[in-house]
Amino acid sequence: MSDSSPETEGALVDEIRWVEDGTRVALTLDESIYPMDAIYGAAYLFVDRCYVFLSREGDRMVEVRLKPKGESSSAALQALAGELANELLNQVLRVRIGDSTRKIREYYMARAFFSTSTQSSIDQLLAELDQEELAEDELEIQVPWETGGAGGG
Amino acid sequence: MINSGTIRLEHPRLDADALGPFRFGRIAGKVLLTHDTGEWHFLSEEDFQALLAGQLTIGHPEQPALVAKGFLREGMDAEAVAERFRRKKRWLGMGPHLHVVITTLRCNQACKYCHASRTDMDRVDTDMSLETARKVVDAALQSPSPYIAFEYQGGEPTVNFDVIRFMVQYSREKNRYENKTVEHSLVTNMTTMTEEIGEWLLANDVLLCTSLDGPKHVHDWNRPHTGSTSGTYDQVMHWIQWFNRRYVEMGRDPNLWHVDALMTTTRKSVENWKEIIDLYVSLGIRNIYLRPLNPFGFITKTWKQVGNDMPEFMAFYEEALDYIIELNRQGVQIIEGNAAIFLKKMLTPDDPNFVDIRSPIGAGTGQIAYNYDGRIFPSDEGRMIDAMGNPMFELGRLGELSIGDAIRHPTVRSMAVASLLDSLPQCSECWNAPYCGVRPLHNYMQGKDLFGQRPNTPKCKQHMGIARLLFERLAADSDGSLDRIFQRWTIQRPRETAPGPATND
Amino acid sequence: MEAELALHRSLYDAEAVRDLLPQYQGVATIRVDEAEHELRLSFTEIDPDVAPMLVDHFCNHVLVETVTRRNQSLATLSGGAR
Repeated sequence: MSDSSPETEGALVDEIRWVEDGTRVALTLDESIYPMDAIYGAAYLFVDRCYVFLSREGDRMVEVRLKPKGESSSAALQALAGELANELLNQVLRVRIGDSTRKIREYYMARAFFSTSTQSSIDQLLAELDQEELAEDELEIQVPWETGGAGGG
Repeated sequence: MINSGTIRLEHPRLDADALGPFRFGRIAGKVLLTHDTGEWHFLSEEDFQALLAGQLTIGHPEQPALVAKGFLREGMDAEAVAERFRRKKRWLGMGPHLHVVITTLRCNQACKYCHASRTDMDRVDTDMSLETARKVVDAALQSPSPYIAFEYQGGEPTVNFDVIRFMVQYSREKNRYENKTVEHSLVTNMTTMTEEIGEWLLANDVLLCTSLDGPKHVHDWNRPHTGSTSGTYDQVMHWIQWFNRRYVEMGRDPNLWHVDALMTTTRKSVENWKEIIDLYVSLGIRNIYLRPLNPFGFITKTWKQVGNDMPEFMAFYEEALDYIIELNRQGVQIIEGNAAIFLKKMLTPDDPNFVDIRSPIGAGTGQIAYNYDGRIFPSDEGRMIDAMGNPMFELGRLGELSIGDAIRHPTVRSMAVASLLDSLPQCSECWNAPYCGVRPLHNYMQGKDLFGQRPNTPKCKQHMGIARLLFERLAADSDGSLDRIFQRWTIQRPRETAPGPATND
Repeated sequence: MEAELALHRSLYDAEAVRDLLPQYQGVATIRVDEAEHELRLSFTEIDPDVAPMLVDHFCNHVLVETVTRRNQSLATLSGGAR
């Protein structure tokens, strides 16, 4: 389990649980704190040194298991867990900064390569994406109740 | 025995809406921020936390630079950022400028690491015909690029010198109507050079590049004649000195006109790195390009004998780079080629458009390789994989495939997708992304997969290793003296008759 | 030699798993049962030379492929910018 406490002056403090058996170490992560992109990004960085395995431990819980390719020890495995945890922190930052700055980045990339106004094309792209999402939404969970789909309320 | 515990992680305060887009990494005890435009900035860990929290505001000494470089949103000039980004990527859509021509596969040497897949000297069937050579020129000049560089390779390209002579003359004639800047460079082992050929090359401004792996005992061990243990060092030295003397006699600036040399780093080179650099300096060569071995051609059979792994290469590279920097401090004009490519991306508003270190890679869109038999490949590496018995990367044949078809070929698109750093795991978030490039065909050679597994890729270790070394050195440059040296490494003065060299490794 | 492996569908790309199978034809026979939440793989006739690390190696391979495909689709959706 991953225990998190409410933000302390804006900073979140989290405790990640690890278990090691001398050959592998497993960390259990809460997806609401560590989005899948961050977990994937961190796990990927270890494939040169470790065999990496992901398993689902609950609704929002993911276990990342690292098994070093060479000889290992308890101390080395615990250090590895610390390394993965630090990398997860970095990856969470990258995901959040990436999400927040995506529009700016799209703007200057579009401006760099197309001299005409780009706003309309971005609006058009967003509208197309919305349409695609709706088309793929077989359960109609995105259809507002007022206009059909699941009734009640 | 099972142990368990918890790791306490304090997530930094984050006001993401105050930030511009950036990547970050930790180098030399500091946090390095990098931007798509190539801008970068070092912060202390404390200032980095303040930046993330949105507390690095007006009045903070780092704030003006962070705004100007696009790392802070408040006050950012998005139009200026777009303009810088456009300038960095201005080669996009320009079309292939580097045209590698394999005039023959014949070669009189049997180098231990040969990448080129040679044949014996009696195999005249591996010579390019004049008819094919004409089609190469016709195709290359169809490229939308305003700058065309023909690079003659082999085998030993001068063994089929008539084709080189024809292509230089025919391209000059044809270019009267195209008005492009056309440059020719010859990659030769110098063993079949004569004064007659040499004078013709000089008179026609053909740039020269040879292989010099170091002092005699290193060079001759790496590069023996076919069927013999005798090497080619004496011939190479004679011709480098002959050409360089003739350039001076012709009144050419030796800073711009001289024989360039490439060295390939074998186990023997690593043991003798200092001697190699001293030799290059003594010959007046201004650019030493420290290259690791590539996983192509003959080397795949001899790796155990001559090969070195990437950590070993990088240890060698670091020592050699520091020595070259020290020579520069003493007034010696010599640069390291890889470092110069990265520095141009880091320290100038431009990109050198080096086809192998860019995103996406230049295979098919910045470079085309023409085999002796008229078959077209997106890069010389694709041609080398073909020579190893795998025709997967052949795009088509001269006369049947236009350059436009080549650029739009599904194989070229696949290589572009597999080398677009923004879409690759690890690369998309890496601090080195603005300066780096991946090599899909190296990945393919390693694991039959164009995408590869980044942490397992030697090129990733090499490129990140080089960029990290450069940033570490810059972080420690308290008096700006190294910055002045590195700035010099990025300057490319045009020659009187042709622009700077464009080669690939 | 034989081995079993369960990959959760929310964590591993099922198509990537299927696409990788041909690469392992020479070293093992791999059967995939696609359950609602899991892909259950059974490895039989494993080449003894690779047996000790085959399943671990396969896990890394399919993780890399899953992440690569996920990044490609995200880049496509956001026009190259993540």
